[in-house]
Amino acid sequence: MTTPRENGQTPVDSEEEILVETRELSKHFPGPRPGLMRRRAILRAVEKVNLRIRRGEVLGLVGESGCGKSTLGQTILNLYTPTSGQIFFEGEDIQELRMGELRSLRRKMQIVFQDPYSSLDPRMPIGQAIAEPLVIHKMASGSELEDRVSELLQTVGLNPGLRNRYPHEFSGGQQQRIALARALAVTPSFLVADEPISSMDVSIQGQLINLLEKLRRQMGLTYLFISHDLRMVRHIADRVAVMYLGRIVEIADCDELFDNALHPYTQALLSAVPITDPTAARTRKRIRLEGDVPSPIDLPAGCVFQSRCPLVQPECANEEPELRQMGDGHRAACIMV
Amino acid sequence: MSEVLLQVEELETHLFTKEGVLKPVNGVSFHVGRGETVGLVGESGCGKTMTALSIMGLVPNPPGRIVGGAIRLDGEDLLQLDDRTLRTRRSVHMGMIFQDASTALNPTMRVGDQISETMQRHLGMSRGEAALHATEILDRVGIPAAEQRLDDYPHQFSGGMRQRVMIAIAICCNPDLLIADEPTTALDVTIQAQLLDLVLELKEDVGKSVLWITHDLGVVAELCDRVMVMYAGQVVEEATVEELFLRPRHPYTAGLLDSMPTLEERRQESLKTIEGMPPNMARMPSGCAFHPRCEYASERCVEEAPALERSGGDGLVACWHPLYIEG
Repeated sequence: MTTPRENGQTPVDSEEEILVETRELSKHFPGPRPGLMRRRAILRAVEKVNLRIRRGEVLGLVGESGCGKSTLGQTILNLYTPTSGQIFFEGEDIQELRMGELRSLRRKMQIVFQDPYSSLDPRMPIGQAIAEPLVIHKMASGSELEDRVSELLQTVGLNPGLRNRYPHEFSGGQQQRIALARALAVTPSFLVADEPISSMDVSIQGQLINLLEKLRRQMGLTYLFISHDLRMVRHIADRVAVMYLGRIVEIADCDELFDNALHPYTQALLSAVPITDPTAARTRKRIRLEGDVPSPIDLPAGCVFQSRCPLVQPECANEEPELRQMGDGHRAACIMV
Repeated sequence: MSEVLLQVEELETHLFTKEGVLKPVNGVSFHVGRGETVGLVGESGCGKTMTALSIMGLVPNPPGRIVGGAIRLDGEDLLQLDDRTLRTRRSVHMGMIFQDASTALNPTMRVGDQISETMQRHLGMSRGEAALHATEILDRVGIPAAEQRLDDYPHQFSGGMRQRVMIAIAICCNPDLLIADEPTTALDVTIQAQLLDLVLELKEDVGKSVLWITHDLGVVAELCDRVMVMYAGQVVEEATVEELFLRPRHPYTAGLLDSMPTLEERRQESLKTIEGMPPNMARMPSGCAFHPRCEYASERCVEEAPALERSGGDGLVACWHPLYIEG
């Protein structure tokens, strides 16, 4: 695969293999119609995103609700057709693939969603739900299929004897394990985990995170871990990308991002997370962002963060800042850094 | 110690269902001092919301009913009052902020009217007075252009702003006690931070007492003076916020704290977890309800439920094998 040329980006080391890459990837949705004869507005959910995910890493994707992180995750998997831009998986442009090729590629890219209950068929026993992708991809049949289902249930920490039960007989945490087993059935190399733990209690979240980490080690998986829980992202991610209104505004190695955030939005986001040390919580200074995230329809020219930015300058309205290299793999889109 | 505003004693709220009697609040005792912010922490189903609803007199009946205990506000037992007196006490002395503002607000009523209605009814204000006051309060909770927004409906506000409207309704009668049930859970962190600041401001300005119900220990660390930890319908630990984070006595509290990753540093090893799940209320374990998940559980824990007792310092703990206690 050729190394793409991006502004200000140094070529990657040849040893680090890029598994997934997006180039100028955008996904727009039709917005509400402002009036009968007026043109429909455009909701720019994902706007010109360049992202590279290395094989074996966990890329954390963080941002507030409506920032486009889930849309980006689903567009990368081609669950949404991109409006423009390209997606490469193992070096192949997936939009160039024919149907059959795309199907076999789908096997390698899987997703688990926030709400496991709504992603499982309530009338299908869980063993059958896990077997289904194996049947579709003709990967196993007969007793081999049965064995594989048992093995998968064991992998995610569930008793294979429960295979004839229905989703509603399980707790939320167990349902997420079932959804995970189903995703892992086809031995993917890339897994998008879209807020996989948000609906769970703290004591259950840890169990699932530990499972994800174990599976990653055992199966050599690559994750795009989408979450608004910055504490959990710090724990699990190798690199972190921060999204705001459809754009990636900062990306860096995990520790670098949390210890040395450069973009004013990232700084504000980190300082808004409640910290678990009462003494420190009372003495630290919080960067307070005023107002709400603006609507992604009809954004003003220039930087998308200007309306809430504590460092805003007149120049910020001129043009949209590009993600610039700030140091070893650390990039931020802000003219003030 | 500060003057006690709210005293809950041996509160028992049961749900009478087809599966049998469930006990979401099973002998809960605690107090909230004047000007104090107290956190009530626990995972879903531990009974924290039912405790709040009991205090507010909002337990859905059927299937729920308060079957025992006392709830004293300024020394007066709310459970002994007739409905009408209770309603007045509740609205004038207590305000509640719910988790989901979009279901707590009336979608067909203008926001200004929802605020003034409360004041007209309970403070005997005239329509004009109430409208004027409503503007002030909306302004107070940080809604920009408050006067123009009085005529808007709830759906015209963003999630964070709706939550502010609910706070406005909760504080419009100037209550002594504010009960907040996970009011920031559905919000983004930057919006949550704005609301936490607002509550801290309100508290400092007028010395209100706050009972803050949450599952997020981070929010507790930011906001509260004292914390109660609930598990399976009971308070299992109570301590000042500093003490609780530094020296949790109950293995469940310690487990919760350990299972949270921190923002400040990255732990290399895997997350500590509490094995298993909270118990099903219809099939409560014998003895200490936490014993099936507890690494310190002994035979005694299986047989006998521990009472909430002094834990060395100022705190209380319900455990036969509390941590950080010599001897």
